[in-house]
Amino acid sequence: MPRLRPMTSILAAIAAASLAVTLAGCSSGSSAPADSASGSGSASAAPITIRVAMGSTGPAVDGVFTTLKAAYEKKYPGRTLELIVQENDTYETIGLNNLLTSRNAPDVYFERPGARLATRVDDGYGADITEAVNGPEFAGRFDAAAYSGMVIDGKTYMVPWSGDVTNVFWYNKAMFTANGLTPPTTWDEFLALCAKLKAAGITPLVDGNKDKWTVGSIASHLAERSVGNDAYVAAIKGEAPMNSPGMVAAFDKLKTLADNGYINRSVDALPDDQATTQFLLGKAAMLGIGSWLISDQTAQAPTLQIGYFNMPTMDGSGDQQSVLGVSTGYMVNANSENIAASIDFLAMVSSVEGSKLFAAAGITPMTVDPFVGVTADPNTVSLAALLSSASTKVTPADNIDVKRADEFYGAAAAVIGGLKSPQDALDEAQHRVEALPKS
Amino acid sequence: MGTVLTLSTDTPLVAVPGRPLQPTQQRRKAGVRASSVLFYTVMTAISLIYLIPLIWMVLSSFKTQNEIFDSPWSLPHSIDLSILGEAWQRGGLGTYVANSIMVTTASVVGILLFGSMAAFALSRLNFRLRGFFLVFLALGLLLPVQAYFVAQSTMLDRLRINDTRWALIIPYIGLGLSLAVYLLKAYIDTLPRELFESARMDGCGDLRMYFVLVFPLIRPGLATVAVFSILGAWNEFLLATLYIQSDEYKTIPVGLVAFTGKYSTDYPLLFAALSIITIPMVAIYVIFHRQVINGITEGTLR
Amino acid sequence: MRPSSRWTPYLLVGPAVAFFTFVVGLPLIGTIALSFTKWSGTNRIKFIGLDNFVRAFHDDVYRLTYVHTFIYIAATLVLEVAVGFGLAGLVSVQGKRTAWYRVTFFIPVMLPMVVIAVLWSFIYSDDGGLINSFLTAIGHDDWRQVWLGDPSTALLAICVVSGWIYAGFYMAIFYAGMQRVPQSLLEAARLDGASEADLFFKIKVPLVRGMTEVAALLCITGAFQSFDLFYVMTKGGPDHATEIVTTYLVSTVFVDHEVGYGAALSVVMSVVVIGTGLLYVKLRRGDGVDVEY
Repeated sequence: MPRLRPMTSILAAIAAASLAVTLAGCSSGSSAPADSASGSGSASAAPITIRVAMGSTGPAVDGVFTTLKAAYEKKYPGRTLELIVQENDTYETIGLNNLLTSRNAPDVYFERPGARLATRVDDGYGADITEAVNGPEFAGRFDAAAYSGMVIDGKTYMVPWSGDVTNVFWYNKAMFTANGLTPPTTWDEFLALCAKLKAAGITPLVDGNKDKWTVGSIASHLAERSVGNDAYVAAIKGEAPMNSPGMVAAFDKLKTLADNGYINRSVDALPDDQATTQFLLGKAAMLGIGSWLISDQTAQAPTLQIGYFNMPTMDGSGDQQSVLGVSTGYMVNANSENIAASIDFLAMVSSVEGSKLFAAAGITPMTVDPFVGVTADPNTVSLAALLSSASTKVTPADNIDVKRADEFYGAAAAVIGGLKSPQDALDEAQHRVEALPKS
Repeated sequence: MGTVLTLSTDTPLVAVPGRPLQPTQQRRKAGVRASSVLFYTVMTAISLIYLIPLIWMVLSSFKTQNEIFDSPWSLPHSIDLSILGEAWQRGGLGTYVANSIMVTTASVVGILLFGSMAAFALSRLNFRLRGFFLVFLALGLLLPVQAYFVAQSTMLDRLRINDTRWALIIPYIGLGLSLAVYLLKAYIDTLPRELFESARMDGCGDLRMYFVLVFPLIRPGLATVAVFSILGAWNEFLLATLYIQSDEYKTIPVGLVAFTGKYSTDYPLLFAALSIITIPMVAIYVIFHRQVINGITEGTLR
Repeated sequence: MRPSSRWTPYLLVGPAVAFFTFVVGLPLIGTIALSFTKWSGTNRIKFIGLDNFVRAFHDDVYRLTYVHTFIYIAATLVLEVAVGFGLAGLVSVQGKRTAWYRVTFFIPVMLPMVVIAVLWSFIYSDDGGLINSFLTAIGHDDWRQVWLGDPSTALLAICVVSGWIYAGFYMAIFYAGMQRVPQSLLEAARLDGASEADLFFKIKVPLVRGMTEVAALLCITGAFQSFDLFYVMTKGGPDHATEIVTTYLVSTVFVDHEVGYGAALSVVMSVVVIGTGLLYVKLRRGDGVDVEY
């Protein structure tokens, strides 16, 4: 309850409190002396709690974590595992940041490799787990390539978890069959197919771009196909202009879709999951979204027959067989008092049993053998193969540079919504990006 | 003039018995009826603008996914109330409602108690810093919450009370106090001076005076502040969405947004959840509409 | 009145001032302090002087947010205040039973704005939305719009919802004012043959004029604080067409994690809001009209 604050002390209190806030900002996590209950399982150790934070990827996956929690607590008596599962969007924006600075900071948290991982490490929230991942608990579980983006200066900061293809074009098999269509391989075939569907009174492609990353992902892929991966990454990092002719050419493809009415005109107003619902209800023939569609389909329309095709090939200096994808993983909080016990849990997640459970739940684990002896959805298995065998793995822009990607995605949204020409949209994005402070 | 007749539409026409209405008066009566019909038609049409969305929301929860898409204006084929229970269960709406009740109650009690205490002192007692406090508290009426929530969220973070109910209760009390103090002070200002002076003559101290004299006397003012504070806390969204991440502490507005994120692919369930939250509120409002509307207008106009 | 002891006034004011200091006072100072820094919320704070303010003045989107806010103010002065005024005139027509209508028009004020925002997103939807399917039903397929997805309609669409909510609120205020017009005055005017419209325009309107000014001030300052409708219905999109100060602030601080820059944006905003308020008050004083309440 509030204490009485006589006036004489108010000014002093204001000064003191604002100072305290500032200081606390510089020295987070020095709250309690570490009681160093070491993790390696001695049952007599004081009871400890491991907090694991993540954004929800659907009930099936959440269920696997609950199963693993029970197994963990059984295997290590005296340890409690607390799962902090937030809505995914919240987690990736406000959620994780608040958690890391809160009184119940997580010991283990979901994160993305690359730029975001590097920020966490810079801010002092990434524990160096090199020794552990080279130890017996993880022996043979991952190929070296799985750690891409998770190692800084030879130190490993993340245990790989899942690999997602971020965008392919899903199609309704029945609709394709009824219209005598087969998945296209070139962009021109793709456009011809869209035209046929449109003529048959069917919305060819549906997408929900309210949050801008769905069409943004497609734009990322188109940009790489047009200018090549290095040039694409440079443009997103601010090392090359976004409005180069090659980038404009990539955005012309989006314009074609918009101008011809091949994509739902509500694209910029529709949330992505509502677009998914429309596709699963048969309101459109195709949907551009990532591999996680499978778990939505399992839940909402298990009998619907769907297939997918990768971004069609086109004229451009990029790798025309490239795949757009991201990997994800779990980091251990450097401020955790129970780092070893935290790693024990991640070992369980990466174990043969763990990765089988995730594979069955529609996730593509990054372990070496996720689908052995598992009845996973055939689309899951083949997408995993597509990603792992990709000659070039393209990273969506928002995994490269959040702020610049925001402008890039904004430009893509303006073009797909028919609001701006590719040139104008990218010029404007470039203008805004130039106004950003140098990092 | 023998006939008492109101020429306007004010009160029902009253003719003195025993004398027939004059022709012009009859015509007027017919005109009044016609204008009445027109008036009520227009008013009902306007009401429909308010009611159709709400009725549509409730009815949609009983439709199927495809019906919602394909024939939004049609009626559901059957009314199966179990969808409401399902939305309540699956969405965990009980938690949100419980949190909203707890947060709102605590905030309103705090606002009323601390606000009336301060209002009494600022209205009736002379002390050195009175003027300063009045100006200081007026800042809250002037500044939008956006002026300071950036550092506020940081403070709650560092004090480790973010993501708890306190992270809402404390700000809601602080934000509600400015208005409460000003409304209640205005109210106390209108009470007769003699009342306080004679109580003081009888040896009544400040604190006793507050509890025995002021608190009971300003009940109508407290009711006004309560209406404002309840609505404010119950419907607040900005701070709630920024300060609360755990499902177990979410209030109704944030909980509903989370719900729409989680079940946005299940339209009937979504509409059912919206209906569950809306129907009781509308019912409570209709019962207490006099107090609510009076409270809000009073509070706004003072 | 003299306090009964030196400390009782402070005891009575203390809790309120303490809460207020903690919730408003300190954060206000903190926000001003943060506005001179570069900080992500998790990294080390860096003092950068006025850089954030320089950046704010060159920030196209930030400038746009003010344009949108002023459009929103203009639209809501009509859709909320003027419409509310009209409704008040209607429900205060003598001799009509209007209690039920007053209750109905006020319903949206009661409901969480989030509920209304979600509901109206569906009403505006291009797939199964009430409005577009109504347009199709009356044979005007060509009038269909992606109301919230098209920059030319999105802001206005939100203003309409805002009007749907608050017209009832302003109606209640004006109604209360019109009820305070002395009955004797109205009776006398009526005996002189004044029509209901005369009563409204010649007696009620001038008498509640002071209230319209209060209402306008409420509407203007309230506009700067809007968030819920915009955040839930469009999140500032499409192409920043509905970006307002608050949505931009929230995405700067809580999505892009630029706490220092966000603080600077909110300092600028506070200055604008207080400036607008003071300007308004000053203009009104110049008018020489006193508010009645």
